[in-house]
This record gives sequence, C-alpha cells and structure tokens, in this order.
Amino acid sequence: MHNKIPFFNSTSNRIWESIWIEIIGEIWKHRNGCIFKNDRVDHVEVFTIAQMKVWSWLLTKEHVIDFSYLDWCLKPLECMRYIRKGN
Amino acid sequence: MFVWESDQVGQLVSLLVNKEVVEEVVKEVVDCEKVDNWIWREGDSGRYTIKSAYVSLRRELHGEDSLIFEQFWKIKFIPSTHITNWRVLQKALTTKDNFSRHGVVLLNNLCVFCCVEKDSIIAKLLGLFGGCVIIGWGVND
Repeated sequence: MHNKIPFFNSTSNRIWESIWIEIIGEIWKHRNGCIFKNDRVDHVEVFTIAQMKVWSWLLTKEHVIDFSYLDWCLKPLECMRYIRKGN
Repeated sequence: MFVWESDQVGQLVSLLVNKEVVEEVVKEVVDCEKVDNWIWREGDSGRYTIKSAYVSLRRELHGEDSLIFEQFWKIKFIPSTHITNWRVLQKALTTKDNFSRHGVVLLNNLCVFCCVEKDSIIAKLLGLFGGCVIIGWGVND
C-alpha cells in the first residue's frame, strides 16, 4: 500500500493513496449493494464512482487540482505527475 | 450487543475499578451506607477521557502494526471510506469468515457470489482493485 512512485512528488503520492483507498471502499460498498439491495455487479460503475469521488475530494478538500475532470479521466498519470505541491 | 463483543466488555470492565471498594479495602473498613462509584484506571483523573482511551489502545500496537497505523492515518481521505479501509487492514469487515471466527453460527461460510471459496475479503479486494484500474484507466493509456 505504501509503495511510493518515484517520479511523483509527495502530493501526487498522497493522491495515489487516495485512489487506492477509494477504490477499495467503493468495492466494499458495491458488494453490500449487490447483496442487500440486489444491485447488479458492475466493475465499470465502481470505477467511475471512485474516479469521480477522488476528483471531488481533491478539488474541494486538498485544493491541489488545476486540471479538468475530463483530463483526470483521460490522462490521470499526466495529471498526477504535474500536480502542484499542496499544503 | 453482538456475540463477539462480550469479551471486549469484559476487557472494558477490567479497566474500571470500584473506587469505594478500593479505598475501603486499603483502609480496612467497609461502609455500607456509601454510594458506589466507578473510576477509570487509565489516566490520572479517574474520569474517562477519549484521549486516555486512545493512549491506552495505542500502547497495544507494536513494531510493524504501529508503523502501519501511523502511515495509514497520515493519509487524508473521506472519513467513512478511510475507516472501511482500516477495517480491511484489521480484518474486521463483516464477512461470513469473520462472523464464524467470532462464534456466530451460519449455514456456511462460503462467498455469497461464487459459493466456492471462503468469504474472506482481502485477496478478493486486491484482485478486484487490479481489475478496476485496468478496466477504467488501462484502456485509456
């Protein structure tokens, strides 16, 4: 879980950790939905929600984002590589 | 209270002592008129504080556990999701595997989806995690 990615700065590594955490959390939620609410198993949905939640968290709480949601979806690695140093 | 919590209640009670009894045993007089009173053994004041409970629980972690704890809570993320992840690390999710480990009787402890493997979560989560990243981002790059 704490494998740092060398060409990322510390903020980018923090974002990487957030993505990891969010996806695990979302899988768990999805599993509960499937079992208790009869939802359909859908990997793409899990991923899309995770993508969106990480984006909105970074935007509103971490204040490190200066790229669009579209960029984030299309080129996440580029986005993380050139992210500005957060607080 | 859940079945597996009874041990934990025992542990909690062991952290409390009956103040009057302690004092009276020390003084070797027992006054039956007095009202009983509980005190919290951790910390100096005898009153329960969240901080003293935290310090006492934190003391139980050693070595690698302690390191994981520090590293993990350094991460800032949506609290509810963060806690779910902590429960994954602590193997404390409500899987059938865990229910049976704590003595809850179930029909079987097989995974609800595949009905073949045990319903434990870590390996599966990791597999799904990889799958998600590949599906979501793999195709774009």
